Amino acid sequence: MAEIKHDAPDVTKFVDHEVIVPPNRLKKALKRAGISADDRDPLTAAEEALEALSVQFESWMEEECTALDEARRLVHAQGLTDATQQTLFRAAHDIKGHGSTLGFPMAADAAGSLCRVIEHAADLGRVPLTFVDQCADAVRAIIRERDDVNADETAFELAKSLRALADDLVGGAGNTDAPAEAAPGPPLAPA
Amino acid sequence: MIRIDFNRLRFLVIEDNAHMRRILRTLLYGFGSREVYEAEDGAAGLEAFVHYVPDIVITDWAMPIFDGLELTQMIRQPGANANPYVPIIMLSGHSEKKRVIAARDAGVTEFLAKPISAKSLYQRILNIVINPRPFIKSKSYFGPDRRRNTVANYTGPERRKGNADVIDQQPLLEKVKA
Repeated sequence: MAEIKHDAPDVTKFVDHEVIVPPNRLKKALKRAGISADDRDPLTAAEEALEALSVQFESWMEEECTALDEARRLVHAQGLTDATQQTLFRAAHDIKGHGSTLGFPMAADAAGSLCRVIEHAADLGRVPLTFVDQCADAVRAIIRERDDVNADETAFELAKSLRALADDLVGGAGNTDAPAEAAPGPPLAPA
Repeated sequence: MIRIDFNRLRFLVIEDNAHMRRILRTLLYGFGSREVYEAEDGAAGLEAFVHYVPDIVITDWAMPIFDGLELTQMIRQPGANANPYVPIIMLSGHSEKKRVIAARDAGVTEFLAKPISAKSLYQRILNIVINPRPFIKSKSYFGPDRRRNTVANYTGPERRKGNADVIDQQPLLEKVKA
């Protein structure tokens, strides 16, 4: 058996593929825990750090909302061009992706409905701009009213109704040229 | 008890949203890492990858210039850079099966759907360090072995000629304990 160089991958060849075992550069990171007093559980430390950071989450969501409002304003001013569509999608996608992490899962869902329609509508030009407004307004309302007594229920109902609208738009009820396999919405669990 | 010394790991975070970069940075520093580099888009991410030679890459999917999928494909070009084997964690707001499969087939090591949590990120990194997977190079694919489990009653087509089994790798944890 040939000597394997320390920093060279170990390659085994087969008829139509190779199996490569690269040098393991990460084994340097393994250690025995509990040796020193400074040996804190990393997961606990990270969770505490994230908790400390969370005081900023609401203001961050406000910023994301402002970006979505600006994107919506551009769409109204310039129409649904490639550029305005991309800006709108990116703003909605950011809220969809980060909303739950920042503590606003229903805002994420509402933005997700807008993303679905932008991505999957057969003819975006036939999607009423009122739908864009409804999504942006819903996200803003969910964030603004978060301290309200009925905030969770209201947010859930808003997200649910937008999901139904998106299902109509993507599924074909409001769009006769919809593709055969429109993207179905995943089930929405109550908040 | 064996633990990961995050102080020994260098991370590269590629994410266009500043708030998400802040969250990832906070989590990684919280885990104990002291080297966390960042990039705002795919192009800057590729440049940073070449410059900093990170141990682990965490990349978003949707980004300007070119996205996380394209970035992964560029990194995974065998012979194109210093470390095409680098573990890549793909973050995404999309969690549909076809997206996960596309990311897997592009060569990502782990997929993490948003919302992210300290625990979910930690578990992905732990798995990368403790259970490194061999790479497969074929005509149509170069990346981590996509077979993670053995299915006893599999009846589908066998796409690999030769040794078609799941390649057993002793977890690094066991090697260290031995």
